[in-house]
Amino acid sequence: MRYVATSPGAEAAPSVSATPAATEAVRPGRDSNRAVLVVDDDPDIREALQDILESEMYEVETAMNGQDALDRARHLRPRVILLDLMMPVMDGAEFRRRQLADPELSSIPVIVVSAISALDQEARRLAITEHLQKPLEIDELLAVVARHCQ
Amino acid sequence: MVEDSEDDALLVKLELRRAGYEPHLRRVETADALRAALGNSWDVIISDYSLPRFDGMQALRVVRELAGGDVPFVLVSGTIGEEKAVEALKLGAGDFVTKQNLTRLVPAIEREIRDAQVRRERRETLEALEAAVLARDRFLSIASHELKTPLTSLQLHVQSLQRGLAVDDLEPERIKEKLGKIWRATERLSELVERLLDVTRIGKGPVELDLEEFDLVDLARDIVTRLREPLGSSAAPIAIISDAPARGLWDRMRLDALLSNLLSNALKYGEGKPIEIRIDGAGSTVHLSVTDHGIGIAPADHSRIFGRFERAVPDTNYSGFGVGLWVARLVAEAHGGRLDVQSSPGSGATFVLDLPRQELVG
Repeated sequence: MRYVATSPGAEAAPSVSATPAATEAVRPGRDSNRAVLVVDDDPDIREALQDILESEMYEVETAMNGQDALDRARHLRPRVILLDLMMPVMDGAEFRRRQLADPELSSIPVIVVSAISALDQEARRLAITEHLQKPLEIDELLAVVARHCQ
Repeated sequence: MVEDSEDDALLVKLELRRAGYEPHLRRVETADALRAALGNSWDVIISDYSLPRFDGMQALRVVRELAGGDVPFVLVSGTIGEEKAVEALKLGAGDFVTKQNLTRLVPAIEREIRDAQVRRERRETLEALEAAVLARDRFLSIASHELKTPLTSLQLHVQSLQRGLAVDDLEPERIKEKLGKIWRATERLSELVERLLDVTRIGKGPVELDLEEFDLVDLARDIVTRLREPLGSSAAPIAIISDAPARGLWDRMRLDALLSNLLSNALKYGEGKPIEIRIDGAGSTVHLSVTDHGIGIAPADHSRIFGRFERAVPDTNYSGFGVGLWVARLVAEAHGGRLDVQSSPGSGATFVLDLPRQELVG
């Protein structure tokens, strides 16, 4: 298993039980408990993550770089941010620095999602406790996101 | 020459002249003077063993510290004990010649200069090899990152399809859509693998061309359609500016790859601003240029970006292997043409391809 969590209770099973019927009802309003921001420069990955998370009834917004992510995070106030590292315009590390410096955003938990090697070290350097190594295991992904959106 | 006696310096000079050399000789007597003299580069340092305010061993240390290990250092002195001579050689003096036996001096200097040259070449070769290994390792790590990106989206779509099928809540339309995305990811993967193989193939020998006659303007049009389609309406507009067809005998597949590379670079670094392709097929050489108005490239990086595994921006910001322009340049050259760049930071970049219609190289 590639997923590594340092916070307690990481082994908790995914708490999400899919009830697709609710999706449409949720969409018009805002379920702030299920807002997730996906940050990745690759359109295919953004789309895939959005698909999967939305089918689990999360409210998903996507951003294509760190700058974009800062703007969207201020509006969306997500419960959790899935953050890629290598992105043009503003990379994940710079996003994290600015996020931490912004009192409105600094408390939002961030999960690094990247294909770089030595991801655990890089995550630690950015003061991020959770990381998911690409390619992704969907169950791990959903378990981690679910834990932040309880 | 570290020497307190002008006469002895003259003797050395005469000895060198006798062997046909016209030495440019500077005599120093103190450590400070030696340090100052080492600001220039010297073929050989000749040093006396004992001077009133200095000695040969200190001189050797100063030389090794300031000029490195490559500069030959020869002790020329009155008789010193065997022990001292051995100590000097251990500390890195190249040879020890007594003033009573100066005929040994010239052969000793010549040998030392030769050895120093060999040492220098060996070191440079080693450094070049280490740099090549480093570049290859960096390339491998970038390549694996690049391959993982489409692999990630492929696996995500497959897993979500599996999950959906497990709970039986997928419409046939939805399945079709997912399969379409899966197919696209496999195409991206195979394209990346193809490019990786190309790097290995092209690195090995001359680029082989498969020539056929076609119109470069047509090719450009095809590529623009192909590249823009997956990006949707958000992509930068690409204009093809050309008066007439530009037909010639070229390798269609390779020029397709070359032009695709220039255009994806323009899309990648162009900050979403319009891109222009100009094709002028009027003369015996066809000129094609791709212009973007994005981040641009500093002049210092202009020649470097055409090297293997190179890019003008840090690896962490942009995806890609860093080999596209290297392959593009080799393909242009294999056609007897050339690929150049004009750019400055912040004002975009223009890549210019000059392509002779038929004169072929190799």
